[in-house]
Formats: sequence, structure tokens, C-alpha cells
Amino acid sequence: MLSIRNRARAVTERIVAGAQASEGGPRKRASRIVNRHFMLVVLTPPMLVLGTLVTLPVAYLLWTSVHIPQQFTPDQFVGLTHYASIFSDPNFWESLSHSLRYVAGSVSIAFVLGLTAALSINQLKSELWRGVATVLILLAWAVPLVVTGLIWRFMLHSNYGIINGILVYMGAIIEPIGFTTTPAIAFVSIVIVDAWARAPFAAIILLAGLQTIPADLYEAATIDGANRLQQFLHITLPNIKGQAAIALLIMSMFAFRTFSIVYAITGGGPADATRVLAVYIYDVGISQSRLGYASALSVVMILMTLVFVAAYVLRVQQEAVETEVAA
Amino acid sequence: MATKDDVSTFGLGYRFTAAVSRLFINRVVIILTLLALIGFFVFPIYWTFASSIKTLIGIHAFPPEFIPQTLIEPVYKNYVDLWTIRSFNYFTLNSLIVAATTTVIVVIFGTLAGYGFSRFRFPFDDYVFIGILAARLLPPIGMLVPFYRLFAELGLINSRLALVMVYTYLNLPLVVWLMRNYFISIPTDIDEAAYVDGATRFQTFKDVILPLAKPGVAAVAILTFLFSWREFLFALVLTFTNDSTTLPVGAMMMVEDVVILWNYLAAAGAIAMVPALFFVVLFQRHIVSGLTAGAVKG
Repeated sequence: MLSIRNRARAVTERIVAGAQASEGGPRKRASRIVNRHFMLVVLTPPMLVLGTLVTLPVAYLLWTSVHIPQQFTPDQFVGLTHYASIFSDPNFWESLSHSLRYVAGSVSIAFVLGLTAALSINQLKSELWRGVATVLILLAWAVPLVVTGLIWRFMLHSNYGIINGILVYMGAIIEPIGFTTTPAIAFVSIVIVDAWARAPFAAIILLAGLQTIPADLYEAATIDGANRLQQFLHITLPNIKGQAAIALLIMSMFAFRTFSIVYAITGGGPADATRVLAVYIYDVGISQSRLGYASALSVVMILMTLVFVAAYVLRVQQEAVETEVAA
Repeated sequence: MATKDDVSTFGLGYRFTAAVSRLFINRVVIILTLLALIGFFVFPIYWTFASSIKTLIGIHAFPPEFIPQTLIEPVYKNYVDLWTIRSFNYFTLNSLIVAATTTVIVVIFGTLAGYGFSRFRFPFDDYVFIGILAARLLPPIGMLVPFYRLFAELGLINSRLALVMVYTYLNLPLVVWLMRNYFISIPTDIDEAAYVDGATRFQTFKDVILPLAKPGVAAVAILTFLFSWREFLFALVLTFTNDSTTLPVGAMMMVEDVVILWNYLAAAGAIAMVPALFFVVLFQRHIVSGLTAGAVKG
């Protein structure tokens, strides 16, 4: 800390020397204004940009959700009709149930994969190998989600896909499996692909948690005769509880809004078996141009997400309070 | 105090769990698990690159060619074809322009706002900040329809500007959040020391604090670039022609043909993911710190 402070002081001295050399003039007056109201100077531009980019579409979304949009005449006000028809729309309920099962499946698989990866990476002694393993697992996270979908669509293809190719070649199956064309199997396929894309994030967050556990906790436990499984249950798990909760929460939020992977692999088919909520909104709003109804669906989806958001904000706030107390 | 003799008094359960844990602490088991996981995560990426240099016959070969043998002549022909006859030169340029512009805008505004939130108090600042956090967590699909209508009315459909605006909306909240946390980790004593020594507010920020925050700025810049580079939903809806279509949409276009040319598709996927993979290899530390800070810290 001392070195930073010395550096800061050296920089300041240079600035002050420069300021004294070039005193006076209108530039100085401008800089005085900037400095007197520095809070406004740094906060106003970003808040204006963000405020516009958030409030304008939100307002427009709410407006559209209670209108039937018209091309050349003013929008036609229909009140809450769109919202009312959501409840009697079987497609909505089906998509919602797909979304919920999708979240549950993908997040639990991703969590188990991520935890296994984090635990095994954490066991590696060499810093170098730990870095290499982390990078190799993180690569899957970096692949654009639509490309993830396309790659897997290719690998799962019933005629040319490598997965069917291997299974047939080994004699495990005779006829290729329709991984993306049989409704029930297609759903399982997209859930596993989603977990593939999501697990690296869980691994990173959990690994960060594992690395904060002090080694002497394990040493003390070993001396007291606790075996590895007991150490895992009573030391490791309780210490990464916070990270696990946050990872689960964030992964659920992101799995709930998933669009690209499903769109790239199945487009919602076959027979709507993989149509999740996001794909349904896209179908209604963009493919069928029913902007009013799609807006109402969007509002409902955002309200459902707010449950996760509230849980997250409360959690983060609580942590902020705790760190304040600790400091 | 447990001594060695005490162990014999533990029950069957203890001996069972001890045996299980010996299995899991076994180095061979750990390494094999890790290798299997890495294989699962890396193979699809490898397979994309391997397929992108094959002919269609090589793609359809049975048994599958794990090591590409039926190579196309010359090996980079699929890439050249995409580049010259499938407009990927435009898509790549669009992706680069959109991602770079978004990154510059978001990093400048995000750093300013992050500093402001970390150093100043104003009425309702906590609520404004929670609002920013909430804005970050709203599902983008929910904003698809209003943005689509808005840009249609402004005549901005099929423009790179529309994408830059949407990506600024998508990334700025996270960056404000991350930078605010980063600035909080720099003690305010340093501001005060500089201030007392005669530096102005602006100089304190620009010449003293900002250099200290460089790692944070680097992390958010990398994350913003990656997130803008990979975005698909809005690019799909808001772009139609070579003027604005980005790589993820270009990759998806390979599917919309009547016959899917899988070797083109693989090459398109490879082009779309190469910069992202490169970033991960080069900036792994920054990305990891950005992800964990974004998720965990208050």
C-alpha cells in the first residue's frame, strides 16, 4: 500500500508543478467548474445514456402490451386483453413448463459438472496445470451460444452426426437415434447442450470459492481424524455455500432466458417439444408479427424473472452489509 | 484428542466413508475425471475445426474420421469460400466494428459512473444502484419487441448503430457494477492524499486513480467485447443484409439453405469463435476475475 501511496504522491507533485507553470486563462475557469461539480460530471453522461436506453424501451414495451400496433394509424388501445388471453393460451403454459424443466435440468447437470471440475482442478498441485485446465474448460464458455447450438446440432445429426457414428460403429445401436428429431429425446439433448455451455461458469465461481478455504482447516481436521469425505461434507461444502447459491441463482436466470441454443438446434421443434418461453416470444412477436401479444408475454416473463432478481439483490446486499461490518 | 487407537473404535460407517474418500483422493482417479471432463468440454470445439477442413465426403465418412483425412484442397478452401462468396468478409467487419465501438462506449461511461458511485453520495443513490443491478438482470428477450419497434420507427433497422445501442444497453449495467466494486477496493485515502497535495478532482481521477484501476478496466473491456461479439438474438432480428449482419447470424445462415453444407457450417462456427477462444487463452485471469467479481461481490 505504501508504494501505491508514494506513486500517487509523485504523480500529484508532477501535476501541481504543471498546473503552476500554466496558470490563468479560460481553460482554468472551465476546469474549476469541472472540479467543483465533479460528481455531476462523472455521473450525468452515463446515467443519461443508461436511463434513455432502459426507460424508453420499457415504456414502449408497456405501451405496446396494452395496444394492437398499427402500421399507419395510431395504435389501437385494447386494455388488458392481451394479458387476459395469456392465461387461456395453451401454448404459453406449454412453453412455460418447458422453460421450467429446461432450467431445472440444465442447471442441475451444469452444477454437478462444474463442481466436479472445480474440485478436481483444485486438487492439482502445480499452478501451471491448474491454469491450463481452467483455460481448457473455459473455452466452452467462450463459444458464442448460437455456435454451440450449431456444433451440437451437427454432432447430434441422425445421419452424419459423430455421436450416432460412434454408437453405430461400436455396435451399441443399430439404427441411428434421432437426437434432435424425436420430441422427448430432443428435449433431453438441448438440456445437455445447455449444461455444456453453462458448466464452465459454475466451475469458475466454485473454484474461486474453493481457493478461499484456508489449508489449515483441512490440516486440523486431518489431525483430529476426519477422513476426506467428512472433510468434504463439513469443511468444503459449508465454505462454498455462498458461491454455490450465487452460481445456481445466476445460472437459473440465464437458463430461463435461453434462446440461441434452442433456436440453433431445433428452432423449437419437433412438434413444439423444445419451444421454451423465449422462443415462443420470438415466434409470436417476430415470426407472426403479433407485437402486442408478444409484449404482454414479455412483461409476464420479466415479472417472473424479477423473483430471481429480488433473491439476487437481497443476497448481494446482505453480503455488502457483511463486508462493511468486517471492514 | 484423537490418537491412532481411537480409529478402531469408529464404526462401519466411518470405515466405509474412509474407503470411499481414499478412492476420491486417489490421484489417478482425479486426473482421469479431469481428463474426461476436459475431453467433454473441448471435443466439440476440436471437432468444429477438424470438420472445417474436410470435404463433404469426409464429413459423411463412416466410421467418423477423428483425425481429418479427406481434406479439402487446399485445406483452407472452406474458409476462403465463406470469405469470398458467402459475404463473411462483411460479417467479420460488422462484428469487429460493432463489438469494438460498444466496448469503447461502455468502458468510458462505465468507468465514469463506477467512479462516481464509489466516491460520492447523493439522494437515493442506493436505489439508483439497485435499479442498475436489476436492469442488468432483465432478460434481453423481454426487450426484443420494444427495441424492434423503436428502431423500425427511427429507421435504424439493419444498421450497425442499432446493434451498438442495444449492446450498450445490455453491457453498461454490468460494467458500472464491476467498476464501482473495483474503485471501492482502492482506498479513498489515496484520493484524499492527492487532493490535499493540490491535485484537482479531475486530475485525481485521471492521473492517480485510473492508473490503479487498469486491471479492472481491462477485465470489463474484455468481457464487453466478448459479450458483444457473441450476441445473437438482437443481431438476428435487427439485421438483414451485408451492411450490418454479424458473424453469429452469418453462421446460422449456413443452416437455412435447403441442404446444409456442414463443412461450411463448421468453418463459419470456427470463424465466429476464434477471437473468443483467443481471448480466453490470453486473458484468462482477467476473465475469471471479472466473472467472479460480477457474480459474487456486493
